[in-house]
Amino acid sequence: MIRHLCRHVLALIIGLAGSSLMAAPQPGEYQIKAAYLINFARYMEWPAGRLPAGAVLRLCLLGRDPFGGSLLALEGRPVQGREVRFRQVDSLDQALECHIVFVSGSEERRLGLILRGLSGRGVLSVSDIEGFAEAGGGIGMVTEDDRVRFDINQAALTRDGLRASSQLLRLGRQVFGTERGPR
Amino acid sequence: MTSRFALLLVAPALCWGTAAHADDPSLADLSLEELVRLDVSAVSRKAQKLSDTPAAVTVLSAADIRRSGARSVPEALREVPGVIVSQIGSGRWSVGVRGWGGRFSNKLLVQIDGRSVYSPLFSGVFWEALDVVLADVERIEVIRGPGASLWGANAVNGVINIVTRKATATVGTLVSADVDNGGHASLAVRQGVDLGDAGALRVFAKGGELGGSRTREGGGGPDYNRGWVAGFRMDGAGSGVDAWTLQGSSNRRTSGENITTNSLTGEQAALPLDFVFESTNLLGRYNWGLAGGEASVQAYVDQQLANVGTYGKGTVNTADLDFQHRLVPYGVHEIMWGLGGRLVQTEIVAASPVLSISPPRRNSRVFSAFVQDEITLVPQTWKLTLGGRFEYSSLSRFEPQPTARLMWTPNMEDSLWASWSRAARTPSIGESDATILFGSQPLPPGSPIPMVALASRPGASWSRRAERVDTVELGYRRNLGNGSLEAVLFHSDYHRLISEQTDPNGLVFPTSPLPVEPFTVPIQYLQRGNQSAARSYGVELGVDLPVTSALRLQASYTLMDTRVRRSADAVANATAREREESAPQHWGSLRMAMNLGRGQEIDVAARRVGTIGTGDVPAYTAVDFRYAWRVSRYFDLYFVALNLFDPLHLEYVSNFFPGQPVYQPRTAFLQGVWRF
Repeated sequence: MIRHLCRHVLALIIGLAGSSLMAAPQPGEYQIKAAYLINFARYMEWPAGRLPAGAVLRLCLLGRDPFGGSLLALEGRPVQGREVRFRQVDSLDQALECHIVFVSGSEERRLGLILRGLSGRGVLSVSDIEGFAEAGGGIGMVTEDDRVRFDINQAALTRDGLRASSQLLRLGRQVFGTERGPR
Repeated sequence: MTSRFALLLVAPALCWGTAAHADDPSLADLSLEELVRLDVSAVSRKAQKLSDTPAAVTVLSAADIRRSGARSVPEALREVPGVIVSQIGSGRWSVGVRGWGGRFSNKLLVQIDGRSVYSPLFSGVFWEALDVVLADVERIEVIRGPGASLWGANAVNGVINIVTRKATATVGTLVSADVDNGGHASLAVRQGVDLGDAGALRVFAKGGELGGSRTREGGGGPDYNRGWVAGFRMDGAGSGVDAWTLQGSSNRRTSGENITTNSLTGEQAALPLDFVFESTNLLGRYNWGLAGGEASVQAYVDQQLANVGTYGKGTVNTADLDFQHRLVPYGVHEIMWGLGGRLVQTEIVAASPVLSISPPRRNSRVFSAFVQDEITLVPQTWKLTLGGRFEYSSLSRFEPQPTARLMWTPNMEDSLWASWSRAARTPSIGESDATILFGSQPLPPGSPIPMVALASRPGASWSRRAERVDTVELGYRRNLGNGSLEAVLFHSDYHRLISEQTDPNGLVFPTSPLPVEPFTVPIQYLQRGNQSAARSYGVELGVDLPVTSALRLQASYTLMDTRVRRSADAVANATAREREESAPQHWGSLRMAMNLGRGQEIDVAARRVGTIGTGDVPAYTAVDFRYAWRVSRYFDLYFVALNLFDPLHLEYVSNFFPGQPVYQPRTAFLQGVWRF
């Protein structure tokens, strides 16, 4: 029986190795990044004029979707008594209607233009483009040692009228634009 | 039978049932503290960032560079499809893109942080003089195919952009030390300082010696390479969207090798030759908002000195100014345009009668303008990019370099693109101005004289046009979740290639004695001009597959062929053959990247390189091994073994300076990296 079991396990390992070539990937980087986005919404405060109490929180994706459906799965989730609405947007004009914009890696070439367009408009910009927070984005996600961490640009948030909770600032890998400085 | 099936179905549920599913809502309920501590099962490859680009682009991230075990830029490029990297000797490399290998691969543009390191003296890169602190490189972008419309002349077959990290990302101390089994050591130190509102500054210095090659019999000592580099980079504070950078560096490297000389009487001898390279550069860049869009201006000055033993020296002074403006999208159009100007002062002092340069000093000017329009034909699905660079160089003439690229992305996974582009390669100072006495040719027995000397010089009526290439490419990319697959087909048509032909005026008797015995033989001149043409075609494949959460497989393969036009002239045909065979017709690599947990990594890379006809280099297989251990937050330890199953092999024979063929031994090195 044990020998049989071993054979099955072996077959299984081979099968898994083979099927992983075609099957959907294991939960990974982007599922975790999607979970982060919800948490950013929890720990961020928008100006009342930009996001009145009880209004829906618009979470948008600018560019090609690397999340494979995990952002869509956030649709309708409650965050601080608001409902999350997800939308994929094509242009800067559409992005300005959102509260959180995740800038996809596909937009890297026009990053400067996007940051300029979103600047001072009460939009939390998040991306995993390398050096995003340093370049003037709100929160940059960084994968380091197989863990997803994030950098915060405090000066950019202030400029956009956003307030990050102390808990968010404490857990950030690097915080730019404060006396604390990057570590 | 049924029970077996049942087991097969149940077993994964038992073993992997605890793993969170992709769309498991519970993941979104985790708190920030929990997320920060969560291990990612499979990290996507950052190379996919440019997947939106209708071009053959490979981006090597800092992690890719680290895992390749590379200590120099060429080593990091070894597994990029379409790029053939061969070691000529200690610190000397042939890096060719889509064929055209050589010590100076003149169809490849290389830039570090926007500064060109392509030498106008010989049209190519002195890889042996290039010294980069790899730990502070953020990424290396490799763009295959003509990149001229954006990067300008000499980006004929490719562009390599080495991008270092911003100073704001390198605050703290880094010390990296390595030593190989031959006792050759190198040390790099970087200190980054946070300047508060002013931004950040880093200063760095690196010095050391590379291991030498071997002779065919395994003996040591045919070559060496040592030197140092020091520099700084300052970046503005990361709070605003306006950004500025100021950076500079100085370096000195000496590199020695044996040159094979043929005396006119046919005797071969090995002549030791020492090169000394010195360079200093300073670059500034500023990005700001302009008319709703984004503009950047970049300026740099650069001085490079190259001493070739007592035989001569070359100096290149460059001043470059570049402006770019990305306009705010207008309807379906996204327009980018720019202007550039470059002044280059070159001087070659030939202290040997073998080489003479006329004129010895040149001031050349390059002015260029480019415009590119990215047109969205159907949102998310069809995109057309039209662009062109219009360039005037005082070394050739006006060169329009247009491109048209069409990209189709029917879904999130697949993209298909096609392109046509034209690029130009300006003649080098050497090609344009040098007369080189380079060999002898015995005449058939019974001739009144036993031999003639051979010398190459520019053709008397040569109008010095740039070489031109027209390239058609077809590319396919598939996103495999956390992996990817890429295939590119290319066909290039080269016109006006600079080559040599026998001077129809026949033999000339020297007016003054030749510098080598027997002093008075007649000279047969070979005249240079835009006299050749070629065609090449091939396919480049790249695959990146996460097999399990701890194992990733990466493979690349290139198959190609180059045909250079033949003529009735024997000399031209010999050059044509040499060019065709300057790179292998196929090469490939396979890498296994394993994470063992507890901060330990193992990388095994194998590569197979086909025969290289020029220099009679046989096909070879090499296997490299790397073990890395993150001992603590502050200390990483690496052990790397190169050419694991191979005591010695030949990778390339230098075709520019006729170097003595040298062999690459099995090598191991230990490296420690401290960060605090």
